[in-house]
Amino acid sequence: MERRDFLKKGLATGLVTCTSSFSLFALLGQDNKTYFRPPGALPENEFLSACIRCAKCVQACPYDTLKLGSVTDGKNAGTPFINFREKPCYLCEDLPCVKVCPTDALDIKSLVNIDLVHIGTAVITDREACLSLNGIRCEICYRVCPMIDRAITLEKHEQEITQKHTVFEPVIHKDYCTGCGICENACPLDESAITVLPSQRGDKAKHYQYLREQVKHKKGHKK
Amino acid sequence: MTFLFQTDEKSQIKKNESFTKKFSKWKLVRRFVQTGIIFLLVSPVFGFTFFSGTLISSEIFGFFLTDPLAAADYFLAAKTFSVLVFGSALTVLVFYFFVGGRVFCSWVCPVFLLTELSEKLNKKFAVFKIKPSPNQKYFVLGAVLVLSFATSKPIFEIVSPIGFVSQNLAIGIDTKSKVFGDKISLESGEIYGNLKKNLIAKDVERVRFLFNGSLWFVLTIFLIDVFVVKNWWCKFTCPVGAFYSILGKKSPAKIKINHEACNNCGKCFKVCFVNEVLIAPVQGKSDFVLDGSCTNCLNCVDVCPESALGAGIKKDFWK
Repeated sequence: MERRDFLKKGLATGLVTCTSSFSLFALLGQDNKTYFRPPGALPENEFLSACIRCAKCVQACPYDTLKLGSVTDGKNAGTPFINFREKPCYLCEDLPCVKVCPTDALDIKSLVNIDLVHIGTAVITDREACLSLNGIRCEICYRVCPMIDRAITLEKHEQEITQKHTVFEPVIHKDYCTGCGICENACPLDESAITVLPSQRGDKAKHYQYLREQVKHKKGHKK
Repeated sequence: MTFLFQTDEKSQIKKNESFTKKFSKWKLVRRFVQTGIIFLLVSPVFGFTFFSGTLISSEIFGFFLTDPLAAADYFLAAKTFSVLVFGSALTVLVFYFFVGGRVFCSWVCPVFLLTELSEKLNKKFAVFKIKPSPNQKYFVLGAVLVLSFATSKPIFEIVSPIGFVSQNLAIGIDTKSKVFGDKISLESGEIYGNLKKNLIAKDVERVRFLFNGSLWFVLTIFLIDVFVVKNWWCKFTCPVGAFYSILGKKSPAKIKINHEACNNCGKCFKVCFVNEVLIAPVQGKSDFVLDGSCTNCLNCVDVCPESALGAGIKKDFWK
């Protein structure tokens, strides 16, 4: 009888400590994963304090783009995020996810025009793997881009190996790229060569951008 | 002979018990409401549009509702004020003030269903019998509010099992597979990228369950409830319960006791979730169950053989 009691106690303690430590570690575990938020989200820190984790935006998303963070995402538990490789954001014009937000963590006032959304910026992260840069006429990211010829353009230059052919290099323009991730989703490689990255600049980089902004200002925002 | 006599007596008692056991009318009603709430949370999956959201914040027939504690956490964390959140939280606050604060716990909250299950399992499988103070939940509430302010994050909403369960009910079931397969095929992005995946998605017409890892946390709470402390979460820890306890103290909806009818049988103590609240009224110190921790679950009303307990309205509730 004593042994049985001991076993029972041990099993119960084991079960409880296992699950509780799992959830505790998951909760405290901080990883450097970047979470891409729905359109109109406040800056990350403000977003995390304003989001009350009601999951209404995830429920409202017609494409199942938005995923909900769980306990394993630590402080991001219950917040919406996008995994572009699984499903990109199609930037619905009526903004169902932003409209339902009760706390303005997704701020509708900041969204004058859906084309000005800035979830992140697409960057060609793997130049060695990119088919277009290898001289193959893939250009899928360019074709699928909803802002074709504005957010992504093709720059032609000579292919170095054969010196006969042309490389059509997709070049991303930050001013137009919304970070919707359609290009990342469409990349035919196993690991996408084009990736959406968060587009915050450091203070220094902002300083270097000053001249560019000035020139743009003089020329006017050309279409 | 003694053997026979004993069995006779036992059967007699059993007969009497079955005779006096009342039909638990209120429990049936309560179960109906609880399942109704779960169906309400799941309803958007089946294409109903009158309700959306979770127990933290929702919208019903165009009316916004927000959990008052979540609203308080939001104001403290974001350090802003929003009329929409304040108004919707006030609506909920006024409603629960008049029906009795912790009515939320026993009639609405899906975690309470788990607690009631764990209460039954705890009778058989309890290994440790620790009894914390029932006032612990007020300290948790205070800590949550202070931490929310200090860390600028709505602390309770991050770890709330109420939130986790209702989130998983609201978005954990996916029947959109087919519809969204058709929709996506219009998008050029998918045609190039995931043609194969897309074709599969079109053929599939089934229900998918997308429950997330948050349910681990809920399971942890359930296991603690079963093995270590009876009703650990709902009775001793939950800050939402603590919040509604404070609110319910002055509520007009109370359990009423008829002192002349009460025969001190103690049955109500056995079924009550927070039975320390019944001590004062049964001893004759008050006509109502005055403690805010009472969840107005009406289990005691169901079980009382003398009908001494009943749902009542305290007319001078502001005193």
